[in-house]
Amino acid sequence: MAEKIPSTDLRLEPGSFRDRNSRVVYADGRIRRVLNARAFAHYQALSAADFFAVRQADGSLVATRAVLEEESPAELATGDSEAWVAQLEHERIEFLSYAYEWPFHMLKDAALLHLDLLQDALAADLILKDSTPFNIQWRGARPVFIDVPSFETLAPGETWTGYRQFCCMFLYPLFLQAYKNIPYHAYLRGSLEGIAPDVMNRHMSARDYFRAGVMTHVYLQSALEKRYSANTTNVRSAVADAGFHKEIIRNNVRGLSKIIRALEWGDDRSQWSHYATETSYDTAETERKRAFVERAAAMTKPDLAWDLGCNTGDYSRIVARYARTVVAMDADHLAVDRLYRQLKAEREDSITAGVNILPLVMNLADPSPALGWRGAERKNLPDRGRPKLILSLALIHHVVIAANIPVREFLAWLASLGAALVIEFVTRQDEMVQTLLRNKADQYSDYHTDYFERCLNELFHVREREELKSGRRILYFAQPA
Amino acid sequence: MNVIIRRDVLIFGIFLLTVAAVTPVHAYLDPGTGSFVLQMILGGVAGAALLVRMYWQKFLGLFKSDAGTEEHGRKNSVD
Repeated sequence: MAEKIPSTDLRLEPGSFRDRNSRVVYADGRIRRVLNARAFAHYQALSAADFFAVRQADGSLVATRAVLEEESPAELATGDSEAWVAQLEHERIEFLSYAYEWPFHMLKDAALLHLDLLQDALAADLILKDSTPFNIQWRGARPVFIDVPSFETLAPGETWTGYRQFCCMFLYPLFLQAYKNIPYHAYLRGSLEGIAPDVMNRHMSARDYFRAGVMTHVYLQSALEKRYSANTTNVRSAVADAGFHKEIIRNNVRGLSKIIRALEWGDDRSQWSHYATETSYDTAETERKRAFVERAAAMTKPDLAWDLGCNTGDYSRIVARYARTVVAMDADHLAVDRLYRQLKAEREDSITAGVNILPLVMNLADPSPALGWRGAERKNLPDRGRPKLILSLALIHHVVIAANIPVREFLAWLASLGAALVIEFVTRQDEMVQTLLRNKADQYSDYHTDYFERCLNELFHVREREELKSGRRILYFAQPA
Repeated sequence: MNVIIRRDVLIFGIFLLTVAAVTPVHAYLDPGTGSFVLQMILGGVAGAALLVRMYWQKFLGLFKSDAGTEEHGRKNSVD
């Protein structure tokens, strides 16, 4: 039943090295995690806790099982100094994403999941030893905590070591967006450690110190950090000796949850519906466009599809009926946040809804690069999984005219992904293009239907072509050449 | 209720910043230490009680001679 996996098929995940007690390895496409004796002891304590099974069943914790000895290779040739004594196998997450790509409400829900799991852990005398949003991934619009070895037994007198990191990577970014309307994506992409208390404090105005959580979690933390920066005594043991206990952590976690639950950004629910109707198509034309996309999706039946410039995700939803996973991307934070909130509302109605659309804030003119140590800790966009179908609807005029990327360059990038393509060319006669060109010198000799079609035909096989809005917009369904 | 809690927190913060203010400047950086102390401030009544226990000797030391402070403050001193 259980086949033997030869150790030669093991591949180390290059981004998994900071935790010295465990590593992620790939074995025949399966996600495995090797544990040393310390991590294995913590895992045994975790698997004995009630919430471990409950959280896996409700989907908020990655499905995990211990690999039996007869399934695992005799020796794990990782070259590490650690002795790996046990293996876990995790369910596969379809598409990885990172906090610098999540809209506000995704980061907020990820933060709340983290705190909820921490509460569960504390009740079972465990703790989450770190607090990075990289430990959370998404199954569509549902957050999943994936870093099982983050759960450790809580030693008596132990404080919450991950508190500062929680502030830097969850709380401060949320504060920036909710209190200051400053998008946090550039901060989190710019530093994988997040925003330091001192840096955050310098962003705060006098008014901000009266907002919930700022005086304590920002100002006091920054001031105390400075005050104690030259400290040479072992405060950790002094705190433990004085009788620090988990109720103190619980109170802090409860307080943080309350603050985060009250954070808001964006507009209220009532405005969503208007947004979707503010398109430049009338109903009959919209129906033709939808039918075109549906035909392409039905023909392709992709495992993974990307919807580039997804807006409120109307077309992602059509493709989602035929795809296993749709990654819906747009540079417009508000639109992506709306899509997430809609999917989340639907997922609360139905257990299956919204499970295969992943909304991400992504500027296609500057997509997420590879980041971290040796550029291997966080993957760039295409390295996380190549799509089989790409939608690029009403996007090309933004890419070419607003972001100055040549038509041929953009199409060549799409072709390099090796996917079938549904692309909408917005002609110069369209009012959207005219708006973009209004205050710009028109130096876009490549932005013409003839040239676009020439490039498209060189790079793809065009299977279908349909004109909409009296020829002002043209849809193409193309397959890789 | 909230206002009262916030005022308590502030008083503790100011208390710590003044009482614990005498620290030599070394290049050694331990950003976690401030967080430990802050966690007690944020830990409600339980944390406050702990802080008082840790800093009581030091607080009394403000009103005593240097020699007395040194002797009493050693065990639980955090800086």
